[in-house]
Amino acid sequence: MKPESSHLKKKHISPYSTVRWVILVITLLIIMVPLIFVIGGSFKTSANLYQHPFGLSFHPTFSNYRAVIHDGGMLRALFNSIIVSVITTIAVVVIASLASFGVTFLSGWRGILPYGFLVIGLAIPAQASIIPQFVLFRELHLLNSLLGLIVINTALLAPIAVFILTSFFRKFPVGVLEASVLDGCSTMNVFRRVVLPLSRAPLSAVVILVFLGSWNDLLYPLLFIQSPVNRTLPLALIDLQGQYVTNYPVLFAGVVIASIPMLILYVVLQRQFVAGIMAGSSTG
Amino acid sequence: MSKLTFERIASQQRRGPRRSSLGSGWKLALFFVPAVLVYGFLVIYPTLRAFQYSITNWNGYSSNYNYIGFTNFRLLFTEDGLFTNALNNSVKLMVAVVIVETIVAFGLAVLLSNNIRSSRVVRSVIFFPAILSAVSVAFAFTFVYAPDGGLLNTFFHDIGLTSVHLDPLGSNRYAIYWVAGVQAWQYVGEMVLLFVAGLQQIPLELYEAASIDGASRLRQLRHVTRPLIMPTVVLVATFTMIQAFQAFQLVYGLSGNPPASNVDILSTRILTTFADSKLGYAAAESIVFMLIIGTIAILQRRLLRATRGAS
Repeated sequence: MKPESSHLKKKHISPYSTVRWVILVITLLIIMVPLIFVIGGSFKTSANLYQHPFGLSFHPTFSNYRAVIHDGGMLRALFNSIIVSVITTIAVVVIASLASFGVTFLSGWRGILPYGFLVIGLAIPAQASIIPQFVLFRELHLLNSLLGLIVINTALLAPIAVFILTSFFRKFPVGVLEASVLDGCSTMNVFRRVVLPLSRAPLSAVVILVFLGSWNDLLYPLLFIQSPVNRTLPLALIDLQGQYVTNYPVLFAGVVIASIPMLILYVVLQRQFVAGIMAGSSTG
Repeated sequence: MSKLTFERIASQQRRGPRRSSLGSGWKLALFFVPAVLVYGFLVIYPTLRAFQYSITNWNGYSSNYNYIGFTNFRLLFTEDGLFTNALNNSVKLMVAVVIVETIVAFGLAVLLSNNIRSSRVVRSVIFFPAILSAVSVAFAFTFVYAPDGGLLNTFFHDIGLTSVHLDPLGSNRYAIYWVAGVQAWQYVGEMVLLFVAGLQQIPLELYEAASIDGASRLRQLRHVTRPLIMPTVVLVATFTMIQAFQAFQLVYGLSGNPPASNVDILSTRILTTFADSKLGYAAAESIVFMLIIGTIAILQRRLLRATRGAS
């Protein structure tokens, strides 16, 4: 690997760029080697992985995948995760974009107050409210159901979506919107036909952030879900560990199944992923 | 979209013209009603109930329980070795992760802040672990850390250090730092992106002026980059702290449920207490947890204001 500038301009390789490349290559190795081992190991037998961790497997076995699918219920969990994440994402986008529109364009305290109420949740960690939520969901008979997970994920992920969307809506030229109203457009139509189509970037950030948040959540499934048919992927993975303890190839096959959808999305939508995560982390 | 720009815009709005011409107030109010109801009922109300539960001895299912004042909180800090142990571990984890992740991420960001292709590719590769579930990452590292046949030990043997025999997650007091290593591994790429965004906001002219004045790359880093990157450092450090504080998935994945006491952290302790049918007590723990996170958030706001004023 050579620094790009050197083979473009044929200039000397500076000590800075040598050091830079050494550091970057080491970093890439540290990040990628564990991932490569997970993928490679998922096609090995346990004995093979222990004896030749660095060896390439020329006799790939699919027995680990058969094990996690048959005994680990990973396909069912994959299906559940898709259902929960997709519906949560739709629900959050709907209620959060409506709310953000409302609080942005209401003047004075009537806008500030509900906005403050909605985003104060960003400071509340899930672990602080989960115990009473468990009691509440038990009373509502929403424990041990995918619907319960969807409902709680929607409530928890709405604040971050409101934060991102509101900060975007606030940059809107109000004149354009007022003109549409004067032209006889209803408030709902201003929202649907003017504001939403212009908000693709923040909406895709919200979609990614919310999808990722509910896809990777273990906390609520762990407390709310009891029966194996309702498990989502992270919970099914944790249960695999109880079942297979240190049979790494089986665990790895589970990890691969749980991660492949995200890997594909990341490769396809990389820019939106980065924008979404960045928007999420700058809330502090 | 940093807090900076967001707050500036927000303050402009407050001074700006009234915008009620977009329809009457109650019509716009209808837009936020669903979110406020869902969120108020499912998040705010339970959070308030947590305060109530924390002063009871409720086990979670019996129909009667007593209010016992602040007994739970007193027990937490005076007689509960498990809680103080978890609190200790949480702080260790947090400090270790903040130091390692912030420094490494800043260093890498300096090397990767330009937009040539190699930088973009490396950035997107090292960011990837951040989108994986922490459980998946933990499973990968149980193998990396395995005492027999694990990646780390095999690596040391293969390069000739045959006397090395590490058991990172075994019963020793350094285990929590090995957990910190995994946390840093997963999120360092995300923090690199935050730093790169911060670095790219620094005007290039400042570096040009500095280099005309004969300042070396290192001196530029010290006198131009350092003061101007401080707000991002605060952002990254506090975000990292909160992330580490909540790293219960990682601990479960690495150590099982319930986790070994040398890697037990506050967020796992709350759930273990809850599973032991001590709901009131677990609520008290979660209140302490929330107060710590709140303190970090307030600290962040203060520091951000201070660093912004300085730069």
